[in-house]
Amino acid sequence: MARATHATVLAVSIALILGIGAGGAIVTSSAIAAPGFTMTIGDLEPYTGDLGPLGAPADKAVKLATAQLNQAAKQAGLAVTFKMITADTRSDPQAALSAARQLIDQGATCLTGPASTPESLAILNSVTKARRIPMLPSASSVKLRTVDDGHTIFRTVPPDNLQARALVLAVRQQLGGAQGKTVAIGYQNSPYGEGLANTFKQSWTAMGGRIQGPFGYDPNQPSYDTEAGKIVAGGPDAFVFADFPDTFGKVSAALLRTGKFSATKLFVSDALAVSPIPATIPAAALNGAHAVNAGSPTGTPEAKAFNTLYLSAPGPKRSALDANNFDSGILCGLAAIAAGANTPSLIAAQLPKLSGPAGTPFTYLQLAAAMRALRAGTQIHYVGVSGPIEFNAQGDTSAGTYDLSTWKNGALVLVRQINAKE
Amino acid sequence: MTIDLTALAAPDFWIGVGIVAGIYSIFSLGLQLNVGFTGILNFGQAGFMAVGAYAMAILILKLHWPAPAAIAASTAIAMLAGIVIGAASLRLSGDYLAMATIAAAQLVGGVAQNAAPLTGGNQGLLGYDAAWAALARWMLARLRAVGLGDQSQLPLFIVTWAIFGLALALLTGLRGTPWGRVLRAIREDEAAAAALGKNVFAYKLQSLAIAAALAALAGDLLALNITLIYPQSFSADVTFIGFAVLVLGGLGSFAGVALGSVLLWTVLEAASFVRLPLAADKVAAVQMLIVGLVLIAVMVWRPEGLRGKREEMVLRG
Amino acid sequence: MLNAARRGTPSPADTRAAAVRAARRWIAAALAVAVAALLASRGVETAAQATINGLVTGTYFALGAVGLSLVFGVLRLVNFAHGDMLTFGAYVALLLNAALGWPIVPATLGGVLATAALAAASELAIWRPMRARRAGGFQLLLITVGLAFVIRNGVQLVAGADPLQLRLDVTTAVALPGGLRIGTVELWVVVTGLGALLAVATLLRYGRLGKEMRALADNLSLAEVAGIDTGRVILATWLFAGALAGLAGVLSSAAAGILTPNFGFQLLLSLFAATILGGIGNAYGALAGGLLLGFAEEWSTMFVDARWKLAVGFVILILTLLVRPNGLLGRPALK
Repeated sequence: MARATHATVLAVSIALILGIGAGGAIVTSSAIAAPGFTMTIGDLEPYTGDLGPLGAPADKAVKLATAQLNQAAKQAGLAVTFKMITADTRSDPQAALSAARQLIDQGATCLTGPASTPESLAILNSVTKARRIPMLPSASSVKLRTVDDGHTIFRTVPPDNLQARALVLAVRQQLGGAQGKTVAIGYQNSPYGEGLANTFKQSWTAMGGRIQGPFGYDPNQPSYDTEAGKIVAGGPDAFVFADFPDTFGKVSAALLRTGKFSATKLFVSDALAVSPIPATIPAAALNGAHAVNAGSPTGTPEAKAFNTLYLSAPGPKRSALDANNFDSGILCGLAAIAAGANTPSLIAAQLPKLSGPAGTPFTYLQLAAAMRALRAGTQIHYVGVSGPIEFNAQGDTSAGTYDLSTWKNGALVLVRQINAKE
Repeated sequence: MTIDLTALAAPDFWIGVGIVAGIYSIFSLGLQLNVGFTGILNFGQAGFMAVGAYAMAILILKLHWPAPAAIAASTAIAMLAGIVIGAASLRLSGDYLAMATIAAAQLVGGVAQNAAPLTGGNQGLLGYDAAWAALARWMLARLRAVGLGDQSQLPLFIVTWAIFGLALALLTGLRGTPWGRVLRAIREDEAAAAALGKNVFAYKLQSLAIAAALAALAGDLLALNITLIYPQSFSADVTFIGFAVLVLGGLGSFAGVALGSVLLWTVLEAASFVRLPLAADKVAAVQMLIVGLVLIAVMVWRPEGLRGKREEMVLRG
Repeated sequence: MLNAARRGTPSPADTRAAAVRAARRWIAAALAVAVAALLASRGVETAAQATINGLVTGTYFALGAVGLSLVFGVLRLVNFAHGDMLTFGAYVALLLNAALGWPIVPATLGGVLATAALAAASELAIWRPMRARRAGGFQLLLITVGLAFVIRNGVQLVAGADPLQLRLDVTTAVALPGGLRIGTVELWVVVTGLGALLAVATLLRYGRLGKEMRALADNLSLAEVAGIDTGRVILATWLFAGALAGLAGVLSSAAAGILTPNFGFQLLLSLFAATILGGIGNAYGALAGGLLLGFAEEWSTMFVDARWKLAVGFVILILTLLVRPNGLLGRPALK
């Protein structure tokens, strides 16, 4: 990596020199001292394969983030432009690896996505760790935090243990305690579903609760009536599902057909916490059900603005994790501004510094001001659309604010917030 | 429609394509031996690949075997699986054998997915590549001396193609031996071979076992490339892509397999550089559409493959 | 190819009748034992509900298997694209129903006709010319694999990968005596599907076309010599296979509620299992094989984790191939 090392040294020197001068320069004219560069964000999403439905919304979110970054850079008078390139991981680690190499070869210095843990691990171990290229996957498994990533993985998506913790708290509050209460768990037999179901099971039984199941099912079964019958058998106190909308649409129809299912007893997590209820899920399965949603405050100005921004742009409707992917894109861009160069290792080093609670808070609505502050050497932290972003030593959000919402007339209505900690 | 070809110029791209193409070359060498030289329609090659990869990972992670022993054992275990499945199914004729072997492969996938204590279930297995990583670092240090030190995937590329070269030499050598001639005789006329007093069944079993061993090696390399294994890595599509490689390279040609594999993977990987005015899921559909069209086109217009001999096509189950 | 398949299947002519009788007895005994064991160990209601669920899945399998079985029987072609023909039919119906607003019955008919047309087109464009060139079995088999990729990804190219659904309410159920339930749409699917299957099976059993198909299956050149217009019969076989595949696709996706481009391919191995189980080339056999497979898969959930349900189907396929490659109900004459 001889050439790259030279480039790095050069970039660091330039950044240092300019950094020293920037504080003074910014007062008069911010454009003078700013080093110009084009930063390329590489977006790795599964447009096809099992996770196919996640691809397009995530892609749109990162695209919007890139547009916001460019607009803000112009406003702030910085000679920095942002480019986003994308590649399909096909929900397959081998293809994800090729996709990542392709993006990096085209100049990507910060990766958003991929959406699954196997894909993230393949990319991490084969490409990004050695080259210190930061990656912000939207996969949520606990496994991803235990691997040695050389501080290159950062997640705006809270890991499953927090998610499961928040779910447990929500169910416990609803049932007035966990002791002796039976929760039936259903999950999609996939890395995501199995991981979350088992984490929930452990937390719930640790509190003295009882578990029915967990019942796994394949996304491609011709019917789910038998599984549904087992899940509702004996009338459990609550139902918990770890699934994606496409499979849950089929399973929930089967649940309703048993005649023993009540949506008010149902608790689901981020991937299913979609509002409004998609056409592929029967409304009766979710109206009255509870969703524990990964830190997506709907009431904040930035969340409202993002909602408008997202819906006014062409493309897919709102879906789970779109706000987190948007935040990932913004973080990549801000880290590059903070690094003052389009160099992966420098961007990776800046990413943890953008997390709270230290520094002045900025949302994406004040992106230009945030960029100016970064150029002025001020410490800032980015408050995401998906909630505050506080990376721990593993690059994970260590505490999360979760919204407990209930579906009423097809849309999620916030009930209260739950704070889940490790 | 625009095409961004900058990545095509990067050595990284070609090393990446080369590794996958090499893995599929080894994988398809086994298919070539079965289909092209023995007349066995093995549709379960991905299953043997899974058996090999999982065996290696489990031996390293759960029984703490040293990596070389685990890799050797993984091929032996896959051969055993080949013998067991072959012993049960090789008396079936072509189409039935295809169905039996693909079902067996799906069954392997089911076990990998649902026998979590052993296989890690959906989460798969991880962390079996420490010894390989050490070897790769050692190789990279040597490569640095010749100015190739920054290609982190180059060691795997070299090892993959070295294994392919060895397997190719071995199989080509075997072709000329009496053993190889019996295999060909079986493919061309099974009844005649049997009439000459050859134990046709035993020869077929050996052919399947060798193919399984090659699949296991390919599986081990795949496991080292993606650094984790989980059930979806070994879907039936892997076998079908292997068949596309096989027919592109031509039936009856061991070396042709490498040509077919490099060609197919270059097309598949380069296809993602073509920026079609389409949503991404549709672009990916175009890619798999190519695999299908390749299979149909070659089988319709050039069934002998790009450089195979036409007479090899007369295959009796 | 004809020779190949013939050589692989055993059963000398003189033992055929005995084999059929033995098969019948074997099935009856196995069924009786299985049902008795179920009732004894898991309670009547659970077993009955599992049986109803098995009837529903079994209907999907049976519907999908008939076309596969006919093509396999008459043309000796294992059609790996058959599952994707189900997908094609379902998406055509979806297009007509959800996008163009047709009611479900005409939309279903549209799906059926379009799939029949697709099958006929494949015969005219690929299979007939390939037969004329005396293409090998391996060649034909791989063309079906290629065709499977082309249809599946063609559908995805047009409709995208997102799940879609027909305009149907799949959440209601009909309460049966004894606390048992079956989904309303599922009930319609079972009635329509089994009705269509029985009609086709009877038509083929007693009609002229069926006789001609059996003649072709027995010996293509002999059938030709006997004055049968083989080209017409083969085209008719494809039309039937396509229409039934389309119907299977629409009905099973209608009852499940949701449709993705890979749904048919995922079903394919189960359809193979049903075909082999019932004996190839035999519509009644496919019906019985499909139902038996459905029952077996659902009953298995009473004893092992339901996650193994699909694996049970693969085991049944392998065991049937090994023990009775002509199928439990197979007419050994139809080789």
